[in-house]
Amino acid sequence: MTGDRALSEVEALARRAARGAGLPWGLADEAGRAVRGLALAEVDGCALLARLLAETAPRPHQTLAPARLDRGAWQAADGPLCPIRTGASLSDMARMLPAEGIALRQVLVPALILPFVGDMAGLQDGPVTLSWQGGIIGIGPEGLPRTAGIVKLVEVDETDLFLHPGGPALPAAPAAARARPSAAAWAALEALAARAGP
Amino acid sequence: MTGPTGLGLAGHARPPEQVMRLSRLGAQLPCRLGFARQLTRRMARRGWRIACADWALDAAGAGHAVYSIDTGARRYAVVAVTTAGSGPGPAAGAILVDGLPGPADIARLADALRGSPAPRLTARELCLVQLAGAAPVWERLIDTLAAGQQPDAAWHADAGGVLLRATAVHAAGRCGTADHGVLAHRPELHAPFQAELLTLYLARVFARDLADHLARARGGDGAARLDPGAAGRLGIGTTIGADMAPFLVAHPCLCNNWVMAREEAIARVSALPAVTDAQWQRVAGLAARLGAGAGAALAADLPRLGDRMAAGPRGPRPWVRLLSWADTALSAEGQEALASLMLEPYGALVDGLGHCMSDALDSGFRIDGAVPVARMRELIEGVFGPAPARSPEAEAAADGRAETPAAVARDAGLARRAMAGWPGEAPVAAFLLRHPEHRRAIRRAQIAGFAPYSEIRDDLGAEAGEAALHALVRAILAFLGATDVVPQPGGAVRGRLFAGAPYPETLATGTADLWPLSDTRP
Repeated sequence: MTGDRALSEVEALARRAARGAGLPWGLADEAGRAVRGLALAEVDGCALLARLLAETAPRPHQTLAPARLDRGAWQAADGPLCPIRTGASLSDMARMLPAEGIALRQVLVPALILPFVGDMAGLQDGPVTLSWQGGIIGIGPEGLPRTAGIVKLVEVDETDLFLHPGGPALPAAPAAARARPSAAAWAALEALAARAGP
Repeated sequence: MTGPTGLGLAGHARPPEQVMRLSRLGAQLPCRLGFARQLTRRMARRGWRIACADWALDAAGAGHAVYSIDTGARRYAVVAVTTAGSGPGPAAGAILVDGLPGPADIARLADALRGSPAPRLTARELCLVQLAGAAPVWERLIDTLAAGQQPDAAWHADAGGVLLRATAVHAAGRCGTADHGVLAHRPELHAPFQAELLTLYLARVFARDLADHLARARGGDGAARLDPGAAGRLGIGTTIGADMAPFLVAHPCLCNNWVMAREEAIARVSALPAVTDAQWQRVAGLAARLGAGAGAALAADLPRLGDRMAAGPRGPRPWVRLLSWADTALSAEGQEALASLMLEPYGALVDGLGHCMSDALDSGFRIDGAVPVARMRELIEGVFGPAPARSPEAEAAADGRAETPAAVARDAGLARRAMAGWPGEAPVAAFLLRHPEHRRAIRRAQIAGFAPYSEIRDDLGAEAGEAALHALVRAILAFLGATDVVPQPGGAVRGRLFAGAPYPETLATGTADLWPLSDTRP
């Protein structure tokens, strides 16, 4: 079925799909919230999450999360970083991150980290600048902007990211009332969600 | 103590260890802050205008009706459509629309309701209720009214005090309805479940109007309309299923705000230095009237409470004195009934707390990863005690479901144990990086740090699966303001809403508030 969806429907399906793909509930909650946050900015987070879970589902958690959080560069022990796991740590650490910024090595489906950067901006009550080889986005505490930079990041499969507090932020776009997930992504998430259990 | 809404607790507040028990929450009686009562109070105070804007039903009752609702600030409408239903009785759907629907909208909604058991709606629709009535009850009523007469006591008893029962209620995004967020800046529907309750209120109006319509179609000019007194006693049936039982567990901030508002109301009234005889007698009179509908424990308490109150208010703070007597003399049911009823004479003191019962944080709260592990252990112990009391068998029994009080306690215990080997000063973000499986437990523990009534203690034991479900569902029904609740097999609970409430044509500040206290038992 295509057409528009309520934001809460999208969040609930994304949460269950992440759980079905093996994330613990607490991280599945973060995935659902991230997909909802992207929908508010008219980004199809369902498609992004379906891409990510297809890539990460077979791998154990510890290989996808940052090995340590006390360095200026976060990287997995071996291989790429998952944006949900990394984003959750970013949000947890928002009040402690170094002023000079932080590098994230090899982030898979990097647009999924945008809502967590929005959380950082909210928790720090100031803009955060996100850049990569190919683009730069200033994100303010009020929400994600609608900008060509986000459109470009959505197309990227894997990249290094750099984050630092400050910089000029674009104004938050008015929040979308509905989500418009692609039919293929919706079906993929439904298939994963069927494995979620109670 | 300060809650997420900035609500401060006055002295004499009952501690969470006393209040947040499944057995006690499930024993609650609706109070002034019940959401249905908040709605009718607001409707009357703000002078909402409700009218039947369209009535297009044939002699057999097939068709639709539209009720317009003008709140002053905005317009809404409820579109009611009769449907084929699954049984022999009448069936209908009612949809709350944001704004006034045009003919194309009405046709679309009618198609959605008639076409599919799980209709898809749009962002313009706020709530969908599906309704069904019992065929014999309707047949007898229509025959009686068509003959120019009114239904007798036997009919009221058989009807169980309702013409229609809600078989499903969908809102807040379900079935594609608008997200709850659209109501965040609408004071007229901002309190919890107002869209659902407004739809149910109009469904009750539609049920009465449908009965009058069918009686007139059958009896012509000689038909009677359902007498306002008889119609007033009828509520709208509602059943909350076991699938809703996890609701308060899944929304700890909301749970806190609901309980804390009521506890604050109880504390404010308890702190009153003097009570007039009239106030005292009013509460005593209301308690005496609970008799006929009370369960066994409450029924045994009521004579004791009556005797005690017959002596009149005593001491410097008479309500505190009565409550502390009740602590040892009455059952949990009796104590909670008294706590709810003693708020009745004090609307001006407590009704404003209704504004604090919505949630601002359940989706927005972010874990503070800087909190040291030692502090997290303290937070968990503060709620669940120094060591998880549950046996491994009990933990295994709680397994499988993430959102029951037993599972929450188990998960908190597991998180606490996993933190045992960690240095106390380590930031919890580092712990969560290694143990993402404890993320929910850590989040809840941080919420409990500022929301004292966010966690329910499971005191019914691991064996009490169905009793625990009933308690959780009854608590929700009590906060909604439902009366005459009857537990069903499997964990569902049935009740009535708006029994005794005025219909739109008599809705006024004098009638809008006291209806839950009128005797409407069939």
